[in-house]
Amino acid sequence: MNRPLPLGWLLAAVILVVVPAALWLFGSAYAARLAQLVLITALLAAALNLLIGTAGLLSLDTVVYYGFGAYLTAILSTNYGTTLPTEILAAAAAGALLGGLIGWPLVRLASIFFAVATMGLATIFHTTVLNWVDLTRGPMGYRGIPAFKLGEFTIDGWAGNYYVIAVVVLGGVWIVHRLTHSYYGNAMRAAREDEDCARAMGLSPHALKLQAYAVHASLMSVAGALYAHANNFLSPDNFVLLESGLTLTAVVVGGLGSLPGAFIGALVVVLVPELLRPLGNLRAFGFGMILFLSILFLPRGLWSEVSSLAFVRRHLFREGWLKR
Amino acid sequence: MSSLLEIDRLSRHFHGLRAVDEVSFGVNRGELVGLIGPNGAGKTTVFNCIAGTLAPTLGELRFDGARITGFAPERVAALGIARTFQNLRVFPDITVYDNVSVGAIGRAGVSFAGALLPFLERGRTRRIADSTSTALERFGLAAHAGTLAGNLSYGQKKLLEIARALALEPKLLLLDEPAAGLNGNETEALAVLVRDLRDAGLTILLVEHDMPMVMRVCDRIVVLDSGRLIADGAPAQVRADAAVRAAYLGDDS
Repeated sequence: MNRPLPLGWLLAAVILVVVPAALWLFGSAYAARLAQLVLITALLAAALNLLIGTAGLLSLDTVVYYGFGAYLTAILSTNYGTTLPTEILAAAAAGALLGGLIGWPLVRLASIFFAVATMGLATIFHTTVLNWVDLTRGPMGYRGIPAFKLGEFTIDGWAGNYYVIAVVVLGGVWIVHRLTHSYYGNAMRAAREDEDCARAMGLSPHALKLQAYAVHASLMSVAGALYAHANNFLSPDNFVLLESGLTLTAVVVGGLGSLPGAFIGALVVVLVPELLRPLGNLRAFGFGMILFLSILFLPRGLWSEVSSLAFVRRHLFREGWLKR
Repeated sequence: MSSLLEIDRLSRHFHGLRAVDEVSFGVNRGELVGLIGPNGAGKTTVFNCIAGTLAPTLGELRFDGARITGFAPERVAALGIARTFQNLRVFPDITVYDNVSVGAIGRAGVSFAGALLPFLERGRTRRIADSTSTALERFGLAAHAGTLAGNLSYGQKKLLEIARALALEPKLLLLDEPAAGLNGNETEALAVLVRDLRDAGLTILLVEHDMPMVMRVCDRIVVLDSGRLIADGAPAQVRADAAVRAAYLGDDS
């Protein structure tokens, strides 16, 4: 319980110092943009990991809450000139509320039925965004979303954007880490493994799953808020079922139940398609092939919960880099 | 001795089949009561009605003086009734420590806020950690704390289930066939353990087919046959009972 997380500090150092330094020295606007996307995708993957890895609910509704937060922020900042703290809080609260309302009946469904229902939600969301033109500007997309604002101060330039996103994403991942690495996480895992038995131990699986679902919705909605500003432009095409699939891919490729894995998975799903650009028309084929083979040969992901803990113990402790 | 659990004309019907038919008996504080009978006699159905897994069709259950008829399992557990399952129900993909902690969590409770801000619930967290370690030590599972429960031997899983139930710090422990599938030595160790728990003051209701064990450890034995109670008394008395011999024990026991 409450295992020390030296990896957490390492991760924060890489994200807050190493990556910005590298971007500053060698980077381009394009690289900075990719770095922001990786971070946002990592938050989505961490939130989905909480739901799938810990609570055991296989969900394909990422785009619903991600898109909800994005459009909410676009509308707020364009029409009311809101600032960053307001937007993050609004996205988190509204996301949790929406997740709670939808989750109430939804989390009663078991395994595959839950997954199919969330696919339905993703489709409903896309259709709504596409057709509610007065609110979302429909297929034309939401253009000219202003930059992040902190008080009177407008954050522009890649460094400012990057740091806003990095800090919020790290905060969100910290929340997921706390929830999963605590007795609360144990209760959730128990509910995942055997619902009846968990009830016999005095736990309420429905309440636990509903809380996991609402938290995941809240975090994804916050990721959406970041995306709206980072991209300045939203289109219904950003929120199709396939995008949910990509987040799921990041979770599985990175390693189910592992938070470092969420970052690694995000790196893979954002960067690999970019690196494959030289393949031209074969790019999507190559990306699909990499995913297919990685699941065949690395079913536990690149950094599974078990292997990551074993890694820390074996190397850091045995080598005497850290004291037990 | 006062009654901790009272079962009053409990009936449970399944589509006209009277699995349990007007069964009444009590379990006194500190008593170890055996519930026996042939397969299909309704023992597990009685268990499931007490634990809240099944709602009784008719009749009433009282625990610690209060009515608990038809309560949900989590509510029954919160009142202080812990159970084990006939077919093993450990959480296979989490560690032994985490399995046992679930019982302690059920007792102490956890909250979302407490997970995010640990200082809010320091006392609670310590209680969970303490009862988990105590239960692990008591059942000799401390050495396996970090093992995934699914990788334990069958006998260890049985012990793990009891340890997890005890981490709930129950007033009443329901054991559903704890000796099933255990070898002679393991059954012997289990009998000693169950007796120790009873001697430490725990009230236990035990369903078991291993007659030598039941006869040796129980203070009192209740016998069911085809959903009806046919005997209720001390082990020697039950063993000598003609109806019980005819229905269950046979003449050679």
